[in-house]
Amino acid sequence: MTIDLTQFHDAFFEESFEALDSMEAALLKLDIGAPDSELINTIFRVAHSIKGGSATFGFADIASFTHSLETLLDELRSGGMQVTLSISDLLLKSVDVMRAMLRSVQAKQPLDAQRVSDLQFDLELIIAQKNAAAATTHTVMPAAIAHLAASSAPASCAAAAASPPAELASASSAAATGAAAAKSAQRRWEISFRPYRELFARGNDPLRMMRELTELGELDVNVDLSGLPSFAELDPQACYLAWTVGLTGDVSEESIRQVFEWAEGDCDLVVRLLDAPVAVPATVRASEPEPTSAANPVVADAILSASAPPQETKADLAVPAHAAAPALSVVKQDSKADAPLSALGDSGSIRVSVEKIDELMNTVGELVITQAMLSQLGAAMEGPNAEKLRAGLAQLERNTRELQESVMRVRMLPISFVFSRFPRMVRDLAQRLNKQIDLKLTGEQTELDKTVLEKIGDPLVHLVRNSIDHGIESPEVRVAAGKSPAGTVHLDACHRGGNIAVEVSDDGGGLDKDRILAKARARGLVGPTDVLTDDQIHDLIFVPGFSTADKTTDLSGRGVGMDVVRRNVKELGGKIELRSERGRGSRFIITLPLTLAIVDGQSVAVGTETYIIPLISIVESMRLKEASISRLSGRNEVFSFRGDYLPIIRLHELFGVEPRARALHEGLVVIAEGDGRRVGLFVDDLLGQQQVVIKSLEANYGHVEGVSGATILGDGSVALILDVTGIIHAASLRAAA
Amino acid sequence: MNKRKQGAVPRTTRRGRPARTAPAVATEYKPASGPFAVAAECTVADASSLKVGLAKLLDDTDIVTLDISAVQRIDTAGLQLIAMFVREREARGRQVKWQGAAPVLATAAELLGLGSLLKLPALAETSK
Amino acid sequence: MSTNATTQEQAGAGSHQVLTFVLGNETYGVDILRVQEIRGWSAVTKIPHAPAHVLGVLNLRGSIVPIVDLRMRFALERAEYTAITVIIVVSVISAAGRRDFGVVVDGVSDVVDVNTAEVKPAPELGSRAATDYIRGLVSVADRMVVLLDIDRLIASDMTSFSGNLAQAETSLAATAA
Repeated sequence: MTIDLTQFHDAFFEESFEALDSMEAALLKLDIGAPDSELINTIFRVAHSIKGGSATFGFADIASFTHSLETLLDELRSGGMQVTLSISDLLLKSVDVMRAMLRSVQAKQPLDAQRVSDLQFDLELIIAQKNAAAATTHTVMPAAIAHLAASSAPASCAAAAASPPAELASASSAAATGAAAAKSAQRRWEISFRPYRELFARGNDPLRMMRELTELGELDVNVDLSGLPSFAELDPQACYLAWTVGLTGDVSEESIRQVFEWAEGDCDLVVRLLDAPVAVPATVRASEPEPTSAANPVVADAILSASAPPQETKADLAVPAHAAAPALSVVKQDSKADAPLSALGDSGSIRVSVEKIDELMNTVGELVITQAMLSQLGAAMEGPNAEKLRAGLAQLERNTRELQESVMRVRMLPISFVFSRFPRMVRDLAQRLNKQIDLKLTGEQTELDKTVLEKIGDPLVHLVRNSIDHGIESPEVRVAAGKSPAGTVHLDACHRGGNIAVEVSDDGGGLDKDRILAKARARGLVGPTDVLTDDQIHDLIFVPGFSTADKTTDLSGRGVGMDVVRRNVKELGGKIELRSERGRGSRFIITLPLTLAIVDGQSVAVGTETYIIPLISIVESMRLKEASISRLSGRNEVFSFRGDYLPIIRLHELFGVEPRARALHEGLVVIAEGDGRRVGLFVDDLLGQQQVVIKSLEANYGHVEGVSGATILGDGSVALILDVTGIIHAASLRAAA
Repeated sequence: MNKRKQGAVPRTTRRGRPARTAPAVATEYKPASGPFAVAAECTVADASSLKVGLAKLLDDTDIVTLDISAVQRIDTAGLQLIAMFVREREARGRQVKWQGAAPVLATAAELLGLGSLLKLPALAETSK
Repeated sequence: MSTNATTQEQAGAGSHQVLTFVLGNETYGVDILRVQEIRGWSAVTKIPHAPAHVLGVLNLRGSIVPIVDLRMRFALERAEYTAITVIIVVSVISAAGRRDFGVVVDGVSDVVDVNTAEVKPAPELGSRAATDYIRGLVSVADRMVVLLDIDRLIASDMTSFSGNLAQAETSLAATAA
């Protein structure tokens, strides 16, 4: 019988990746020489919980790797080893490797096993070296183990066996064993380990546990073969063996239990102190041996295993005949593999699927519309109770707005989720490029929609790489230019008028306009005699395939250029601008909507129809003077705007609507920007600006070119939301005729 | 990074599972009384095919020889299966002999308390 | 497929309920189980490049629902939309999943029980495609009711939507060329 654990995989991966992020952040904060013990604890907890989780789910490779990592971290935690620069590097590499391993398991892709085993080797080597050094002062070495170690036992375990780490015996467990514990440091333990059949299937291997026990002290292993069926009936994947292990050493119960931690929920485990001779109950089981699902810990058992001191357990479970049994603890272990992970998230929080939140958003959207309709009705109401009704409706409106904002806030996360990856990246890049870089992060608490947040990461990474690679000069060049040798890359996020502005700036060399222009001319992007404004020159770097890098490094300039950055930002309904000053640095400003579910729009009228143009696409609106209009080749209308000639797109023509105004000077043009191009959208009138909830047109109908969605106005009618880029695209096809 | 070749730590101690490029065929059954070669990988993933191979030998009236010299990796599942085989043969009054040495197997058997059942040749002898 | 399933269900039940409505001089019927809502006419929002019989979209309790004029769909003479013009909102099940559509009709008549055994097949009249969406004919109180298979009716509309869109685009491209 195997329980399908795959249903819990997603949560495990998600939690593990988050945990690794926090581990990485902690590592980067770690001071070499004087590490903060709380940080080390955080790091240790991450490794520990990933180990537990991956063992539960049978990801043996990850479990094995994290085990080595955990061993090293335990040394650091206990002060047995010092945090050096090389160890810190090794730990950062381990984070990468664990991420890669988790991703490969998640995607069911093969993994670079060599990289993993190389790093694991390095980890174990460091531990082994430390232990080998310690072994010269310890001579306690169980003969049998010594014998094995000499021939072939794993070095780390052999070395560790030679030196039972004294620090593993914690004060608390010593207290727990109380008066029964002998004064002598050497204690004799008896461990009854009776795995369930599924143990192997969960990726656990008793062999590994025995090896770990040898690290704690001298072992006397007795195997119980009574559970074995006949050979023919044997399921090769099931565990039929059970063990009683005598362990002598200066060990706490806690550290013994730690060895079996991975197998929690998959075995019955009894750990007893043997200092007073005691008869062992034949089988001691707290409850049904039937294993429960790993994700459904029996609460009472979990509490028991988590907190009950041995004495209390004894009071509950000791059989009268063995009343003399000291410190007997029996725990029906149920997996709490995910408990340590959730313990990482410090505040009381719950996980909610994004779908549920979207559903909530939708319902609130309906409520807002209904409320708007009621308000309109109420305003027209007459009679003795009309005032009361209006007061009530005003209250309803306030509450509805608050509810809408609260629900939107649920989807919001601080941008620190994205920023947090940069300290590591900048550190690595600076090292590789021999540059000195200070990274400054501000506005990390600025919140934005989860969907936006997920998609803004890559563009930001590209911009930061770009700044480090092309922006910041080498220390020598900087000093020669009278700057400090260390360059600064600054990431900032802030609210700006209903949008989020994210800036990446550096105090590097800035853009070389002459070179950009020369290159653009060489490529025929700009005519040889054309004169361009600074903004236009800066715009050139967003043209696909345009790169000014002298040499292609593997950092940027790999074809994935600024055009991709701009496209990604556009897809989020945002825009990107560049300011740069030669010799002083560059500044990229990304403006993003707070959320993808709501858009700030300008309502425009065309005939009897109302359309919404996203404010973020709008540059300006104006009434045209006849003089500023010209007609190219008879039909295509353009108008002059700040020295440029922009094409006019008549929305009524494009959408086949009967307009009120046909003469250009009778209506208005909305100057809108899409895909790097500006056009004038000719409309009858501007109606007003408002936030609208975006509804899908495709759910019941289909995609319409030039339309990104629809929304419901206060009177209950539907208005289409325009997609400026799509409109420019459609119109340019027409105009080409 | 040459240390890893010459260091005191033998490479076989690495716990990281190597890439599983080796074919999953764990056993090769030789019908004659020649030795049965146990495959390099004897883990839970290979246990099923190992069982199939061993099952054919269970009632072999001759002395069955298991060649363990190729064994590189073994876990409790693999060892349980081999121990089971040996025990069952013994119950039928038939012998199992060993050929070659597998330090990994010997270590594992000791750690799991199965050494006396398997009666592997002494390590000191075989490792020479 | 879904059509077959529905037919079988109804055959098993012996009779099923049909909402009848009037369009010009004819009475049509749709399976009551597919009817979501009946509502009065209200102005729709036009969709660019839509086929002529797709009048536009309406807000139906938060969803954006396309509205089809059945008179135009059946090439009948066009009627004025008045206060008594009715929209029947139906659910269409297609390969793309469930979609809601509104159909504009002259007026809703009644809900009637139709004995499945009494349903006669539609006569083959020239082109098959024209009668493809007719499930059969049945006589109710001396009136002939045309039972519609809305899945097929709208499914052919769906394909005509995308066809028209593609057409609109190709015509754009053609003028561009």
